[in-house]
Amino acid sequence: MRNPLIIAVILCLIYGMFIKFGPKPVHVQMQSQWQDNRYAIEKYMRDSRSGNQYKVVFVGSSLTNRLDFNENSGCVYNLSLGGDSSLTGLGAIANSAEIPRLVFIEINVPERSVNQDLINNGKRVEMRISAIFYVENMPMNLALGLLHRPSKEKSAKTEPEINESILQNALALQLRNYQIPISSDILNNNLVEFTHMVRGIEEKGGKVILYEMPIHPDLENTPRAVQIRNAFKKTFPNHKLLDFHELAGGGAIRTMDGMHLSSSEAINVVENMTPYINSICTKDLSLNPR
Amino acid sequence: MNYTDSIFLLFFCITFGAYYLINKSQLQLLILVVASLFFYAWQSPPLLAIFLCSWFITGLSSYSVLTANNPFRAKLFATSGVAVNLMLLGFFKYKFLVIQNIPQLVPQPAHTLGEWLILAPLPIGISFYTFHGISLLVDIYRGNTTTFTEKRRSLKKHLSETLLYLVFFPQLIAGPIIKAKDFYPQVGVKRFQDIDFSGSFRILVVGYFLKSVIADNLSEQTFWIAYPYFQWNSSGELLLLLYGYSAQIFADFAGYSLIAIGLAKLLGYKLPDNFNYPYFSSSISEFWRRWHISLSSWLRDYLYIPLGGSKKGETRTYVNLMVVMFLGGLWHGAAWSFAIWGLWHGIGLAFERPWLDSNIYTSTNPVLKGIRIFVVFNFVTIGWLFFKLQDYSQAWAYIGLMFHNDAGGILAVSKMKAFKILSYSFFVFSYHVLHVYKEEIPGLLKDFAYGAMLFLIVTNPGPAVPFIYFQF
Repeated sequence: MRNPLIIAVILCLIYGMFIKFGPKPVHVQMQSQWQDNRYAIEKYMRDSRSGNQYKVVFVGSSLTNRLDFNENSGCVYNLSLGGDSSLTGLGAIANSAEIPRLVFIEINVPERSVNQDLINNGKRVEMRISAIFYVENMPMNLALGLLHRPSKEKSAKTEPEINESILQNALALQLRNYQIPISSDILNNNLVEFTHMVRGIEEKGGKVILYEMPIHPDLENTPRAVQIRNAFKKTFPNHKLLDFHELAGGGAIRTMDGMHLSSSEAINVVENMTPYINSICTKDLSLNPR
Repeated sequence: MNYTDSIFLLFFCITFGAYYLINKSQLQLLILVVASLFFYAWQSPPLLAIFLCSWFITGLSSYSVLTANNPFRAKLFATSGVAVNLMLLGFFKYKFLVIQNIPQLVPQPAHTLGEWLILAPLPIGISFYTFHGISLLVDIYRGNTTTFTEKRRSLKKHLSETLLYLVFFPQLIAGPIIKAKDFYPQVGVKRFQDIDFSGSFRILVVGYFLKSVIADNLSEQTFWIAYPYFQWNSSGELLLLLYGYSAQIFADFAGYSLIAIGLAKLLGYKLPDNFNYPYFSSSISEFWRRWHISLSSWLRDYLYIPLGGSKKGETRTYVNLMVVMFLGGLWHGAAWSFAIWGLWHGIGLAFERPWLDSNIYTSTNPVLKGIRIFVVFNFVTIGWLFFKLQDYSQAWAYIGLMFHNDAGGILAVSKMKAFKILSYSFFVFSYHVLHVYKEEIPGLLKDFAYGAMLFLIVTNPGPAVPFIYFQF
């Protein structure tokens, strides 16, 4: 029993040295979208603790996750979470040391509540002891990162492109889902949570802009989409709600599966927003994003 | 409370400390019972009431069998006890299978006890503790052990030991199923100095490694087997995902069983082995002697043999096999896909039975044996689809798409996805191979392997997902 314990400690020490002094992956690689979420939260909270505060933060679901902002600038951070919600991102912000100057909140999937486990994960004590506990430093993730050849394999956010049969199947499924409004109990409870989070950000000097990520035009006026849009307008009458077409820049909206933007469309949205985001990063905050 | 949660670690440390501070049998028993009831109630306290009802009925009826003064009364009490246990299992587990729309038929929230019982979710571990109850009744009736032949056993002692037998937390939720005749003789004073720390440590390291590093990480990959996502994978990826699930379910359940065995060992109890490297089986019948051993031996002793086993002619043997596998499948869950999974294995067992004595099965030629292992592994792996996709029409659709789904090319497989699934599955394969050569591995290398597993448990754990068998 003693020998395996000693060997495990030695391996941890060697691995810690490797992380510090060994080769670093060009792109951080995760094993799944759930690890992507862990990474997004962990990194945001770690950066915040170490004094690296982002000025602009996007919170949302996998819809916003398609937007590939240049995070290297240290100004903008995409805290969107695949399969999760804006509320979890807002929870991570609330649990961080500093508040961003501007928070963009996606409204598309308000039925999902706060994922407290994910937020607690970002606060784990052991991460303050050693970098071997960071999710991106899991041996499998490090191996994936070192094996990954970005020049030959395109980024996950730009692949795959639209497959018509997948699009039609998925769109049919989404059309059925979007005919059914969200339970009003769930929506109302989560709107209370949104209100509370938004107030918390604003009380600390941050500003909030709501936005609706573009989805397939056939879904735009379905009962659920209309219900969500109206509920946010009613709950936040004094907040800017960037709609669909503003974000898409007026062009035809192309999605991979009815919900998630195609890579070219996602790039288009990012390009549309970049001048405004840059203006916040370099100048004073304005409430007119366009 | 999951065995991989930090709260469980705290719970176990407190229980362990209190347990060994006291050297009196009855107090140790009390501590274990209280801790186990707490463990059970942690998830859903109201369901504890159902468990306690089951215990009380089983305890009283088994005591009545024990003290019955003629065989007729003993048989009557034993039969009634078994029937009540089966009714409890049948009602709570299969009510949703029979009446699909119960929540719509009964007003919510429940206002009466009857409504509450109808709406109650599946009590955790009910499949396991009812099987324990049946084992107790049958073993006492058969007079299988001297523990039960002492007529002066008091009701209080019998009820308290029965409560421990049914609720013992390391095996409460998902086994291994220990037969009453093997458990009761173990109840007694346990001393700290008798603990086999080294043995327990090694069992726990392998258990946590299989669960936390292999199964939990694979669970994030095999998530995409679910409907509707699987439709969007190529045939090659569907096959890869299915192999990944095969590795995951082994690592999950074998890992859980080892953790249960290791924890029980620390508390001075020996639970039966549940897995014996099943993916190296060269026939379906051998697979069932190596996979979930405690369930297969339970089904053999308390169902197959009482039905007549293989002693009542060829036709009856095949019928018995199919009945046992069908019910064994359905025992896993209230969905017809589990019954189909059981029948799938029943058909496999029936098909190979006439050939078991032929050269095909008895030959020790390594190539022939390798082919047999390959065929059995693939047969078992296809069966897992009915386990994973509990709507059997989806499982059929998945099988169909494995042959012709052209999502970016029929055999197109993402290299990264393949790397992840194959890397984790490789450990399951290695686990089986190393077992064959375990006697030849030098001690230091074994220590290194345990150290490396511990290192990966610390640095590379997956998300703490519940054990697959917890749902049963």
